Amino acid sequence: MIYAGQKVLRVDLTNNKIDEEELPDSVVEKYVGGKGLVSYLMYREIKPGIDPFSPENKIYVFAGPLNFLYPTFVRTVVASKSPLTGLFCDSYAGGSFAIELRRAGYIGIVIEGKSDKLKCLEVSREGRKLFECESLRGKTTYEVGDLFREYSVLTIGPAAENRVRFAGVYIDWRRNPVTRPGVAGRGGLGAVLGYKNLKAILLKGWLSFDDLARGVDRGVQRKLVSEYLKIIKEDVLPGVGIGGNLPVFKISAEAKVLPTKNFQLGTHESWRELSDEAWSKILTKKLTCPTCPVQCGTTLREGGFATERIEYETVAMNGPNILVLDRKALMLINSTLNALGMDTITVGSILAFISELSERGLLREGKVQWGDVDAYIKIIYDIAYRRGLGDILAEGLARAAKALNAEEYALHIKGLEIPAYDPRGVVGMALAYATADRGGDHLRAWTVGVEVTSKLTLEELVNLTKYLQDRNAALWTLIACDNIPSNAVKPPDEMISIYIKMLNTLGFNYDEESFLKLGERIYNLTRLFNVREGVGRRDDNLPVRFFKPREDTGWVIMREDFEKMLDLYYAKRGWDSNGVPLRETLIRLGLQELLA
Amino acid sequence: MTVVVRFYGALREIISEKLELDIPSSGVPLIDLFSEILRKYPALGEYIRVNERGVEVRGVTILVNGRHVVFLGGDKAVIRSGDVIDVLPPLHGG
Repeated sequence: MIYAGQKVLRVDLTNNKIDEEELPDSVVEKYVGGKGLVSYLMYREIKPGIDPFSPENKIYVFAGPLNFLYPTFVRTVVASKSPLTGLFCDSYAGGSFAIELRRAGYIGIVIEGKSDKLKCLEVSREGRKLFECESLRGKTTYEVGDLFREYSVLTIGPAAENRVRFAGVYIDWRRNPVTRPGVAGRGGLGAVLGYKNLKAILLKGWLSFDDLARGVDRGVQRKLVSEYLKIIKEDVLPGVGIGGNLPVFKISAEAKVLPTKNFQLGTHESWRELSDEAWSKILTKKLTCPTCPVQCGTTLREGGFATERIEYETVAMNGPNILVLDRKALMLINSTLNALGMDTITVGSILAFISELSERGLLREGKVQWGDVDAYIKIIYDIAYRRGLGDILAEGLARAAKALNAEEYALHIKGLEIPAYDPRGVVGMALAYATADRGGDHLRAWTVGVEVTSKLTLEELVNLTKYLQDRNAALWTLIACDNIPSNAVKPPDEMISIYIKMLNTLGFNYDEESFLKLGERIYNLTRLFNVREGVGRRDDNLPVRFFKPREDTGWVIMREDFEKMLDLYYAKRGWDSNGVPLRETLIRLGLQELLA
Repeated sequence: MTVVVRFYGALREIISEKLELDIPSSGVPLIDLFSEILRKYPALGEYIRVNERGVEVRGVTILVNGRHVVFLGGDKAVIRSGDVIDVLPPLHGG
């Protein structure tokens, strides 16, 4: 055993069975925790070609090994074969769930099969049990959280029960929360739980710090905590603003990369109404995850409207992108989506899509005008309960666009709707979006931050994308908070060096080079998962809109530029021209066991 | 013979919104253009540097006529009269 609590809880919903298993050291050494372990287990256990909505699909809820022992490593990863993309998907959430999981002695939970009746899983010192909870059917995320206030609660809303393909997983949502609620929002992982008929996991851990710190040198641990907290105070807190990445709204608007009118434009004259400064005026409370000093959770109140955890992506995608510039409307949309349990990025993209179709006369029923908040709220409910046009939209943007014969206006990559930065301005994000392992995503490689200084060459841009993808994959094994490096005002090299030292106090033996190689191994593993599902070069693509000049600035990504960038990226990764990892690459990364 | 260089966001705290710069009729490599800009506005060095490695950027995007300059030869790209250069700031967040 490398670290305490190296166990996995296996929950078989079909047979109503709960087992636990110790992970072998050889696996933990190579994949560590969090993203590493779920990638490995998913590749081994999920057969290619299965329907995400089938008992054969599994869902993984994992913590990282530094959790509880070091501050900020509190996030939970939820992973499964996504019903939205049909590919690998991992999504991360804050809150107290992962700490309770570690304090229950587990690094993760694997949920298999399908229950006939709606069930909850409860884990506490008193035992582990599955119990029927049909009375919770239809309850919102807030209602479930309120019913079990003494637990950390991971739950789903009605949208997930109705298998909306972009329904999320919610942690610690309740009225007047004490800790920052979290959302694993992307890729429809909540719908997998909904399909399986698992409404919630209730956790109350009992192990102490001493139990989990067995073998850790306390003197070294205290010194590392102190060094880390100093960096957070000096380099991270100044970049956080009121939280939720809201400071980036002003930067995006001024840099003209703020999605406006379904990415047709890059800013809006009234953007200040939704800036960090404007939200600061109605901030009533700040919340944080256990052990974290950053306090990035926001509670806001204005004119009878209130909401928690509003974030840049939510505000941009459901703000200028659909021409809503009113804070109260944004709070209503945010609260409604969080209660029903749907991804705010996806919904913002879908609302923009149908607004544009309506304007262009391409929608026969369910027309909506830009900025019509009442109509948008109705559509959100129609999606959650699969009524009328909402039933088509509940399938996700890619499927809906195909059904409506309007794929040109749908902004997604591999079925995952793209986030709120127009890559025609910040071109560095184009490759990051196209090669992200879960589809159109910005978090795998944030190439436009101040973290790294690079030469002004195509090769360096490609190297930077690969480096950040690998580095973040390694960081998410821990699970480090992705809000921290990306909001830091200084390069995070020293911070990452401390993380590696922290990891080594558990009994690992990583240095900067092998840590980066760990990330590369994981990134290749998730690629292999996707390749096995049929992904290739044609899928590492951008929506057609980005290959056309933007009407307000003329900024454009040329097709030949993009293809050249992709060629260089594949070569740098050691993948063939179709984006498939080469045999020698897999051997170099220690993945030879996966070769056929 | 002039080129226009437009700056966005936080970069405007260092430099005006737009510079119009005279260049030779034969054009000028981007590295020389930015050497000149940095000489006049050294505070921009927080984001853009010119050194023996060439032009280095910290999260900054440089577009020439709407196209990322890395596709046009990077710091060796020749800037000609009438070209419009857009300089976007780094983005915090994610």
